Amino acid sequence: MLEALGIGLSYGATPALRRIDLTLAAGSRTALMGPSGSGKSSLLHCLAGILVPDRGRVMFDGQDLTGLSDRERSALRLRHMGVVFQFGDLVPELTLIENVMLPLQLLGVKRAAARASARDLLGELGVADVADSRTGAVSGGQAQRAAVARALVHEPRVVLADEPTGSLDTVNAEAVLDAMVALSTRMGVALVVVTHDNLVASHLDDLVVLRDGMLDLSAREAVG
Amino acid sequence: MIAAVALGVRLAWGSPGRRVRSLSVLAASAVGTSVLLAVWAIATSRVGSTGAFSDQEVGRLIAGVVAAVALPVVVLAATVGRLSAQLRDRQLANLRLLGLSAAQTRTVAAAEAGLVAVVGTALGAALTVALAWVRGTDLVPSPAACAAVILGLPAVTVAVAVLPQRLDLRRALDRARKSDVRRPSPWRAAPLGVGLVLCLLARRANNDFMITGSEVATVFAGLALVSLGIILVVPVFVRLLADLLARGFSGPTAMVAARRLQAQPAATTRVIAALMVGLFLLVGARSVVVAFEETPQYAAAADHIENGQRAAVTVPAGGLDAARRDVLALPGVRDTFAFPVLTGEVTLGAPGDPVERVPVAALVAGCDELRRFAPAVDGCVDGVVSSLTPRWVPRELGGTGAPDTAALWSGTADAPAAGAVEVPISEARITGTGEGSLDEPTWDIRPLWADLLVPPGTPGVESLTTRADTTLVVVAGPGRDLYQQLDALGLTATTREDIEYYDFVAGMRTVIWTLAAVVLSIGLLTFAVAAGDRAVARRRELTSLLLVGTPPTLLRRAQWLEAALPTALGCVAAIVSGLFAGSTYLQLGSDMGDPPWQQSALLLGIAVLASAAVAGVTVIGVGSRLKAEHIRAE
Repeated sequence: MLEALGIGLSYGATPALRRIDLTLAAGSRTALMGPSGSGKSSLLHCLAGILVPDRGRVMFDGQDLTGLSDRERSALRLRHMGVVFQFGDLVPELTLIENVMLPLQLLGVKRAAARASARDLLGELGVADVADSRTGAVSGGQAQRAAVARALVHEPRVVLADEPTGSLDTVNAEAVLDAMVALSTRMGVALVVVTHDNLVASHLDDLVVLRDGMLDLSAREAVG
Repeated sequence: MIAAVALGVRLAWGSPGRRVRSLSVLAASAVGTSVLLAVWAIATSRVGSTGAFSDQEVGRLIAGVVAAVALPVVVLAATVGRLSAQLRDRQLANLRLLGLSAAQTRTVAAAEAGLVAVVGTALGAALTVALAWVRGTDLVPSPAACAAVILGLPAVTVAVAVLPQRLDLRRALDRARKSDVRRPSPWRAAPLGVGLVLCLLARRANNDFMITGSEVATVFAGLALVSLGIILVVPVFVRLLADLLARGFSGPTAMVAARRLQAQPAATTRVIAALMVGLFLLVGARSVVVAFEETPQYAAAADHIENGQRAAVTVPAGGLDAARRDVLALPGVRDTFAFPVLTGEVTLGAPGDPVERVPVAALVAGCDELRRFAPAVDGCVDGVVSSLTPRWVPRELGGTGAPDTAALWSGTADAPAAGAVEVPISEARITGTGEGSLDEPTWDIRPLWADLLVPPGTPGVESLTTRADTTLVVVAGPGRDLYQQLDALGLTATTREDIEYYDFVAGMRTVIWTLAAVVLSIGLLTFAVAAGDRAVARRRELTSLLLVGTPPTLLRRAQWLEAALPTALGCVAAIVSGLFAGSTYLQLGSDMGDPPWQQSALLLGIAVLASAAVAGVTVIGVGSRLKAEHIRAE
């Protein structure tokens, strides 16, 4: 479903990724691990079509993302992908439910239908009671659950999460992760999680380790 | 697209911070619109209706006035439109990462800024028109002016909000990670450089009295590029200054100031750009006004406005008391001065040359009387006949053919009615603040016009004076109706100063003062808005510096240095550029006056001191106690 074929990426003279080959099947659950600066986030951004690699290709359902325009990649991401960042990055002016409704509304779903879907999902994640609160008025764990809901509400093919529990305490991290895994499994959504945390990785099926911008195949085998 | 517009509108009122920003945009749009329309209407009413200039000239003048106000208004709109810019740009960048296209992101930004700008502009226009109607003045802006402002100002606000959002995904990612600090392109300095070179070329080429079309084109192209360049160059200037500060000084204060200047150039440059533009315009416009002030039309009208009106009437012998009584009864008349007038002739020509007889007019008065009438005159010598114009003074004539005496008589006839009196002409010459040509007396004795000043005690003159006509000078308060009032009394003024431009000059002065007040007010408002926004944006950064143990004194010093250095140097650069542009313009003509060196030097001193003082104000609140919510946010 989502493939990286020999991709390489540099920031100026500094290489971030070197010839990465990776295949993510539909419904798979993969952890991306590695030390700081190993290229985890860069790989995630390439898979999401946010960054275009300098070399190689990223294929989504047989379509080469690197050949698409910025606008086409944005449209594809909006329709088929969900993104979660470490701090949620919800829009603070909107309530939690409005944040979750946002992808649906941008895809043309009517307001009432979008609201209903968003409320259902927030309910499944246990934050329906604060759905009409702004992000500043809820806890970090609640905001992060809303961010997960925003990433899943439009039933994407894949959710790409960059340290989604990095800013949370253990209890909240566990709860967010459980909800994300459960929902993605129920919806058949592929899940890619960048993390430093072995506990997070233990919730997922596959492990990919990066070191100095390259896949560390020995680490992968060791866990596998 | 509808969802993006709805999101933009929702964001405009989504939180207390956003509401404050939206209300600021609304208020700035309303104030800017109102100011622009009011100045436009004043300029049209006071300058456009005098009939002194052609429609085309008046159109250009009004366009200049409107442009001078529009620029600071646009800077204000831009400053307010970019409040909390870093935070909002980061949020929009995050939306971009979620899947919004660049066009959708721009739509969100445009909707957020545009709606309130349109409402504010409409409010400002409605208020201006309503106020004009209610007060019953003729200062109602024209429909064309309203349309131009209502369409133009929101367009600027939207452009300012949208243009920074033309980001590709890589930049969006940088912004979302807060690492989007790019160097301004050095090409921004190109227009200023080219403009200065063009001005220099025009100054070198203009060494003769002939001004060619290409010279005029070069000057105006140079001035236009300098004006544009002074705005564009500010980020490069600030960045250069920050780099020099970072390299040239090793102390922690300079290091903190330099790094902060490098990291947050946008807010700094907006404030400095607004200041620089205002000062550049002020100094440049002052030079243009200098050229106008040198014209006799302006001088006469300005004198009537500043010092009051003066008219000279001829009163026949014996009628002085009655005439004086009638004149003093006129409204607004402050004083009268009477000078008996003799006519006569001098004989010119060196020995052996053909003789030339030249008619002259002489005032009979002592030096004290003359000084009472014209305190600024100089060179009067008691007891001798002095020249009021240079043409009889022997040294002015090179010592050849200068007359030793003048023959004077009473009456206006070419020949003496009753025995002429010969008076010796001395070397003394009466001068004043304004010198005319060879046959003109000093400007200070206007509206009198005479060649000689004859003391009353000169032998033979007293008997002539009793039969002579008297020139009665009437002094009244500022205005333009003295001539008509004297005509009504049957006293016709012998000379009439050119006050055709009175209304125009009076209008110009109103416009200039209005303009100065408006530009200054908007400049200060812009500065206050930008300074407040910066203070809020800096809170977290200051907290992090305090948390690592940075002494508050160092933070205050760094803040002062960071604010004072670019602002003061920017002011100096703007004033010097404005003076250079103004002097280049003045070099177009051979008799357009000198640039306002002294006023500019004074302004420069004030601007530098004010920069230091304002930088001191920005220090307030820096390094204050740590607050729990700031620590948590950090």
